[in-house]
Amino acid sequence: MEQWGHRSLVKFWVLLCAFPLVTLAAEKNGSPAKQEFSKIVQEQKDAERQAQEAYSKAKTADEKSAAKWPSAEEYAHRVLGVAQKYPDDPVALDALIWIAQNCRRGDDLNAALRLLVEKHVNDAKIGDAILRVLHAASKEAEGFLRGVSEKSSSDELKGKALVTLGRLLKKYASAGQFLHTNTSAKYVENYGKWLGEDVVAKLQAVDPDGLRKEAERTFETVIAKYGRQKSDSRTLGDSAKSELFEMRHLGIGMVAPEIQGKDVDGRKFALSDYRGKVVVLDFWGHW
Amino acid sequence: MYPHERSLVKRMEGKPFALLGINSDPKDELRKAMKKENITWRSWWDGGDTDGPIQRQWNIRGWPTVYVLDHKGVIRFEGVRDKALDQAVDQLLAEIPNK
Repeated sequence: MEQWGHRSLVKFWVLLCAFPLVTLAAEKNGSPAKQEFSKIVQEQKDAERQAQEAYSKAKTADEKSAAKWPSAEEYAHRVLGVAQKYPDDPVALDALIWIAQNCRRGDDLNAALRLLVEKHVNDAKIGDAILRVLHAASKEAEGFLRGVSEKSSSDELKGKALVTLGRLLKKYASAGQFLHTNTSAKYVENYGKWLGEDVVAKLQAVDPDGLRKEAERTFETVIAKYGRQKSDSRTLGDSAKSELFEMRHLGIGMVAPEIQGKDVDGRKFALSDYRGKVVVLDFWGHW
Repeated sequence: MYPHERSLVKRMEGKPFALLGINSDPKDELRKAMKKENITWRSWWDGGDTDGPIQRQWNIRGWPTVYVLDHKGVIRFEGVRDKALDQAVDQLLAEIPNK
């Protein structure tokens, strides 16, 4: 009996000591939502690493093209599932942002963007997703940006959404311009793959100049109302001014603005020194 | 990019043509790269990073970015590479009136 009692005591102490460890472990791994989300993201990272290794080992062009890069879209449905299963867990927002930042298109991206507008329109965390969604260039991306700019109570998020919307419209305008002058099926197909067929159909139907003007108005609104908001190292006003400058002075058919500066040895030279010659301007870096 | 640029510059020797760079490397790295890659054309040194004043004014967000200007200084092509770049340059050279 004595022995039993002693053992029970030991068990008791072991349990007591282990208890904080158990809770710590749960804390470290996070909620079930966090665990599920992390597991999927880890799988995607592992697949990327494997693809990278396969690519660097591949010797022939065939082997290189066989090393398929895993797209985020392949994982988006499960990530979206986590956000839908645990809508009240903070991880739901992280999951939706992951989809918005990593996916270019697809129903899951569209669903994630709709949920972000419905439920997270005031959360500062969506700031980076707003800037990145330009890559998606879809009807839903446009809806997301308009939704944030109208519904958010945060000036920073509204401003970021409008800068990105302006960039999207600018992209649409130049794509639309191209599609109005190049009507062959091959171009339409390529642009369809890039922007989505629904966007291409719209761009073929509307006047690209109208899109241009709307883009310019959008940037002007940013400068007037949200110019002081920050994005990375610049203000949104500076970003919008650069975009307007590009639209008004750096388009095909416009006289290039003067460039004055020094070479690496401190010798001054200017673009206008080369008037009369065909000039290729190459913005480059050796990295 | 470099081999193609080198051959373009070589092919254009003696013609009214210039390749001009706007470079975003730190000075010592730019000097090394010019030596190693045999870069003979001039570049403006734009402050040592991708946020330099010329790049800002030109709203550059990807590298390399290429613009092709005609002899009047008008922007005629953007983002052309390789064969398309050669064709663009040839087309614009042909537009220069004979002296």
